[in-house]
Amino acid sequence: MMDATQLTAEGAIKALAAGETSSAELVDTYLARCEDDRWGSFLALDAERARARANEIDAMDEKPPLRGVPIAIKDVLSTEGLTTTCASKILEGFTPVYTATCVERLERAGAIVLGKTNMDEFAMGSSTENSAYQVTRNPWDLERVPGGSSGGSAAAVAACQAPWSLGTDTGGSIRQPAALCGIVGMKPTYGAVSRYGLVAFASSLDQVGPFARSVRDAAHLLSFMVGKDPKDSTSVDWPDPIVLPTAERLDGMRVGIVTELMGEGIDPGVRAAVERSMALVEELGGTVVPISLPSSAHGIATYYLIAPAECSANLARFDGVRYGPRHEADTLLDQYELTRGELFGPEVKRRIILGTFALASGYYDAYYRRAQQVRTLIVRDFATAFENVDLIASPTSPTVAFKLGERTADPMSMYLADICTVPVSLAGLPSISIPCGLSDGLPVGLQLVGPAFSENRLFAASHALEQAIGFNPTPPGLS
Amino acid sequence: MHSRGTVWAPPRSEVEGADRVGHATDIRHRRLEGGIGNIANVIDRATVHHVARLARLRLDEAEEERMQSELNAILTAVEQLQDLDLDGVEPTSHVIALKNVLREDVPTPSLPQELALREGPDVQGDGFVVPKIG
Repeated sequence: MMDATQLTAEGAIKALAAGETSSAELVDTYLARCEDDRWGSFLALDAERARARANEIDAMDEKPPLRGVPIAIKDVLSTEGLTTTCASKILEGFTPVYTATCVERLERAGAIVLGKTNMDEFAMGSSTENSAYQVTRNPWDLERVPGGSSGGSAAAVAACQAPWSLGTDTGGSIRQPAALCGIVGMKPTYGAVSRYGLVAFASSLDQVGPFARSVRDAAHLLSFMVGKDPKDSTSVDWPDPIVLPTAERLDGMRVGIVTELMGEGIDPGVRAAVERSMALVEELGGTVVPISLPSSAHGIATYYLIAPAECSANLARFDGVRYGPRHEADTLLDQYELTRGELFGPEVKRRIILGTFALASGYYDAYYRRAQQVRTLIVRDFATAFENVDLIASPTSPTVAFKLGERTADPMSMYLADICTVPVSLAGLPSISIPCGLSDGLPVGLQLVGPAFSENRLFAASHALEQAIGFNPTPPGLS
Repeated sequence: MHSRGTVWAPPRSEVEGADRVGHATDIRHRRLEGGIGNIANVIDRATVHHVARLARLRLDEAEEERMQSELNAILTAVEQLQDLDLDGVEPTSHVIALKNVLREDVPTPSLPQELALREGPDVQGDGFVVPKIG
């Protein structure tokens, strides 16, 4: 029996190739861990199909590259025959009739879907507490949040219930939970991964990306997902194949540290861990220069107008007519209003109303259009910075994992959890969070950002740093 | 842009601007009240109620009240954008330069009707059943 708590996907693939284990054994090992509900990571398991698929791959002469390694999928990605609820009552019991392109590509490469992970309803939130179904707990401290919105996918990997998983990131929903759970999380360049089959939240920002226990695993997973999909017109032809990083040095690499994100509002313990990483950058041959992103101060304000505006349009489709449960009523209008009013949770309703308001004529210019103009300033800030540096560094989250319930009463305090990640999303840039140390026994994430389509550079530098940092992603008490 | 703190009737083109982003709205029939600038009152109860109806959300009174104070807090926090000089700055709606993404005009198989109807809460023949309109 393989020890899941010590295994990366890369290690699992090697063991499979060497005949030391089988896909069926791996699937059973992980499913047994998935059934442990201490963390509340999963909303649904697909045990029967996962076992059948494992046996199928084990029996193949020519095995696909991922050789039947299991994966967990955020419940916002459509999976044919397996419920996809977006952690919302309005999609309770909904079973998609097709599979998202990114998941389909991974399955074709030999990945096996174990199940669907918990999340903030429709990916709106930063703690997974907005799930309509269950609480997800941080494997480092069960009284704390795993982050969000992809909290279930992050907790599942941190708790070794899957060697890797998929999340989605609109304003930080992969990077922030990765930081809080002490694992690697990566948001690719906007357009890198097809959004077909991803239930849309904010279409100009949404991207799918990997969670993993190593940078190499994250790069490996992404390498199978990128590229043009005729079913998503915003997906792009991928310029260079993603390669598995091997770099040990950072010679010649110029890393800009964002001064605005290293001062007030950032926990001292977080700052200290990031500063230690910057010292390591220099030890590895790189240079660290302070840079300024002046408009990033307006990131949260800009994001919380643009994302709700887009969500108010995207979530119009949930009306109780074509899928999901409905509240029966005598007229169509009553049916719409009652179904949506009863089955959406409070945060989703808040954002739909905020977005509807920001788009309303009379307010459109003052709110939505202005936010789009500030988005231009944020894009320019990054472009200016990248004239002088190769990568940009900051904390991923201003704090370590906070306590369950600590921020639920105040929407603004929850929104501020994304202060370091949101500007990057608005600029559509690739970005990764790697664990860079502990503060009060809880993981701290280092965020690295590159220019559009610089994924290989980002992975190379993250890998070199990861080796130098030597963080153990298995929470104490788990192995 | 119009001056702050006033209530004004949108010209037709503004309404179309709102429609362009895919937001179905009949707001041109009713002006929002409150104006911009006086943040504590940007959204009054009537506005919450009206916008909720535009968004097809039925809220009870307690929800409306909570929503009003939360939305005003959020709008106060985003008020910082009003002070920026944005003259001549083009809005960004999409970060990757894409233009006219077209495919060959060739029919390809689409979702079979039976599958498209499968998840409907009430289906009859080849359609979704809804109550009468109005």
